[in-house]
Amino acid sequence: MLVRVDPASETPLFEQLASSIRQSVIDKSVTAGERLPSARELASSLGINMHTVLRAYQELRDEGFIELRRGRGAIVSATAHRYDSLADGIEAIVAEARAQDVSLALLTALIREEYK
Amino acid sequence: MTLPAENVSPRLTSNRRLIVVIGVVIPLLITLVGSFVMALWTPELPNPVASHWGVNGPDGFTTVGGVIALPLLITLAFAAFAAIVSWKGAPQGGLLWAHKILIATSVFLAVLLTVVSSGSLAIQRGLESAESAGDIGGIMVAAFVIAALLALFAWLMLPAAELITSSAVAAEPIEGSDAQRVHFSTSTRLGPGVVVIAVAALVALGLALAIQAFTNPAELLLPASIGIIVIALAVSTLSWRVTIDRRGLRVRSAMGWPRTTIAPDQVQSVAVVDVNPIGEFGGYGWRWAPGGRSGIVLSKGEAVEVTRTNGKKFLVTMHDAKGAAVALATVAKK
Repeated sequence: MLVRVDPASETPLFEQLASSIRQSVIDKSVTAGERLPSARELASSLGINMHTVLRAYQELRDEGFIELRRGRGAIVSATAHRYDSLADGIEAIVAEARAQDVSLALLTALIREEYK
Repeated sequence: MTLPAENVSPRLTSNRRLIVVIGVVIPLLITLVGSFVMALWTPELPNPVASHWGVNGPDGFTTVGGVIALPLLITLAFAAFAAIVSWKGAPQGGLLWAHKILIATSVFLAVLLTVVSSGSLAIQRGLESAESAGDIGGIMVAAFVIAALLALFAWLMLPAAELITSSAVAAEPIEGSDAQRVHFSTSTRLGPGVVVIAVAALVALGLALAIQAFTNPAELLLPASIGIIVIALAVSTLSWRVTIDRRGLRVRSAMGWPRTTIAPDQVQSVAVVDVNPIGEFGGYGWRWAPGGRSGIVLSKGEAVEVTRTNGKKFLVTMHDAKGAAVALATVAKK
């Protein structure tokens, strides 16, 4: 699992951390059942506050990507890959949008319209 | 039945001929001749014959047939194993040194077993009872020397071993501000096939120790301590934790030991390489290879390879070696 955070960026650290880990789950560099480093370990490794890591982990838990268990740390949940088919679909849509020179703003507007 | 046509290079074809002749035909011929000679001696031999010697002379007995059959069976099994393993050859159609060792060992085993068994029968010819058979220490030493010489000869008959050189793909640091921090962690395990073989070997070792504990507890200490060290080493090799961050590359066995760290300022460059454990390192585990190369070699395939500032190389096989290489290159840049 490759995690990167940039304290100089405007995006909050916990958000960067969560999106890094989410990306690792989506590209399968971590798989279901794998244990993530403990919040304390990851915090000291990245030189950031442990509560920042915990906040990112909690967000990922709410999205169903990981399970948090007392004493066992964070584990990639079995349901983490349920977004795989969605990700494949989005990949196809984005490729189609690029081919037709559709901007990101227009694409999101189209998706928002459809989602209603 | 026709087999699908196989596109085999001429070099591999000639090597296969050598594999069959040196690794299978010659060892089998040696044991067959030995068996034939021993069979001729049968009328002159006591029944049963001595087959095992202790400190005070013979202490194990069996039939002549048993002594004749054992070298044949072991040679047949080992020669088949050596031929099957080396049949595919190295990627360029040559032989790996692991293949050469197997073929030479096939010759070694055949000669050793044939000389020991025929020698042990030779000294029992004309005896009333096998109890009075003389010492076979001299035969053992002679057998070992002859077998080693013929194995060396077999080794020299084989072509020079093909060395596998993997092409390294250098890793570039992640683009981003100097303030960015990276963390990479993964666990990497011994491949399932290797685990099965290792577990089988360890179970056999455990059984041998258990038998020793029942039959001869007095001489248990040395084999037991060696056995426990071997088992501990094997278990510590099974699974490793790899962490890369601003403190460098840390690799740690799941048991906590052995472990190693390479600090960022010791890193010259990082690359992704394709590793062939048998061909390049002669096996699995924490391995050393010629040319200042060492590493945790657990499976065939991708590995992250670090070239240190002192020129030595260290690698770890893993899934997602690309991610690890990029992370370490980013850390080392600073």
